Amino acid sequence: MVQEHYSMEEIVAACAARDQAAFRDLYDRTAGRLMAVAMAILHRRDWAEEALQDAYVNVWRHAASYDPARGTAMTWLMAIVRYRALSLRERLAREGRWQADDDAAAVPDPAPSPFEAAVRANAAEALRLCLEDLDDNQRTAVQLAFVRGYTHMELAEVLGHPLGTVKSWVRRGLMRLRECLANEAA
Amino acid sequence: MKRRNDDLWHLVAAEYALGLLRGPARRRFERMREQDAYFCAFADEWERRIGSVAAGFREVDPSPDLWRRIARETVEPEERRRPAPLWGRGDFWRGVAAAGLAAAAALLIYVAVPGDRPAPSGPEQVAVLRNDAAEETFVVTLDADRREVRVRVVGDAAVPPGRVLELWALGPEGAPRSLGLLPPGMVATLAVAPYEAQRFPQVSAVAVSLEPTGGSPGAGPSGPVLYRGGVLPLR
Repeated sequence: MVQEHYSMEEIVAACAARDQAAFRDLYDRTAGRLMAVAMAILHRRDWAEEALQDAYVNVWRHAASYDPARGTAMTWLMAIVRYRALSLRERLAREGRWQADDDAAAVPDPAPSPFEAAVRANAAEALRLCLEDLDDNQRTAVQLAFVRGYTHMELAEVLGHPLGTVKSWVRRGLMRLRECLANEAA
Repeated sequence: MKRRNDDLWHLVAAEYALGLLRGPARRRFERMREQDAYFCAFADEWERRIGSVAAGFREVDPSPDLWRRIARETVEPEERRRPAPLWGRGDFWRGVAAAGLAAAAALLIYVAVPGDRPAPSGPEQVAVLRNDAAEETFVVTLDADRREVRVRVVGDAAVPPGRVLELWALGPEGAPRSLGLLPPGMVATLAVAPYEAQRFPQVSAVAVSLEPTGGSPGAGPSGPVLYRGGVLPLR
């Protein structure tokens, strides 16, 4: 059994070495958080679990490709789950089973969004401050892209503006966000 | 490393990480990311940012049977499948020991006296890996104390585009264990888990296989084994 004091990075390395107990430990430690990431994008438990299953199978097969120099193991896992959830949603959309408005969560929430709650809880203060720096349209578009993983098309639908307009909100928002974060870091 | 159009590439990387790039644009950027550290760093940076947001989400418990479904596709089939595949064949590790040991002895000085490193504090093992033409190509040092594997390219180890080299250790279990993917470059150090480092003294041979991007999809090598060599203690 894997011991508590091993870091997530060491556990991923053990998975790469085909250590089955390490894989189980990885699952126990991360499934709840990764399920939340998948739920934010897919809204439904059954779909989120499908994405999660797909993601963990890939993690087991490709654990050797994780490179600690490039980020934490958790960031790596989250990116995998996110990409899997997004591609599942793309497939559902192709099959006509997905609609951006099939859930109340799809509509921007006037109450503190999960995004805001997240950055506060996470004390990602710089990110929050930099978001405030954006104008309202840019901020909403960027937040929905971050949290919900909406496509340009879905953003246009949800926000009720033409595709081109929404695309430029996202672009300008992302560029200003980066400039601002670079200044905060300096 | 600074290039022109930093801003543009940052934007593309952000859109990629957010999932806003679709179809051919997505695949194109994915390739650029794999092949060029410049693009890779940008994408990594945005993935970290997105990850920091998701880290604040309230956890949601998946249903109890999700683990069973995952295990069925991962750890369980491996238990059932063992032994037999590629590495189980008699000729797979043929000649490894004899050729490898001689080569390792010949190159001992090369590895043991780099000049700029303090003497190893514990036992190290070294393997010289050769190709099918018996040309020395890699020198691999297993360092259990530092929990790392050091790899030095000493011959021609060209990799076709879209492929990677994966390093394997063969021990008494029979099945090779992956030590990781070899990054491009002449010298590399791969960190290994404590579990893996503890197994170093039992490793009898090391090999390198050609694999798809991301490494072998299975438990052992999926592509051809291009280089191999027996392990010799260094002290």
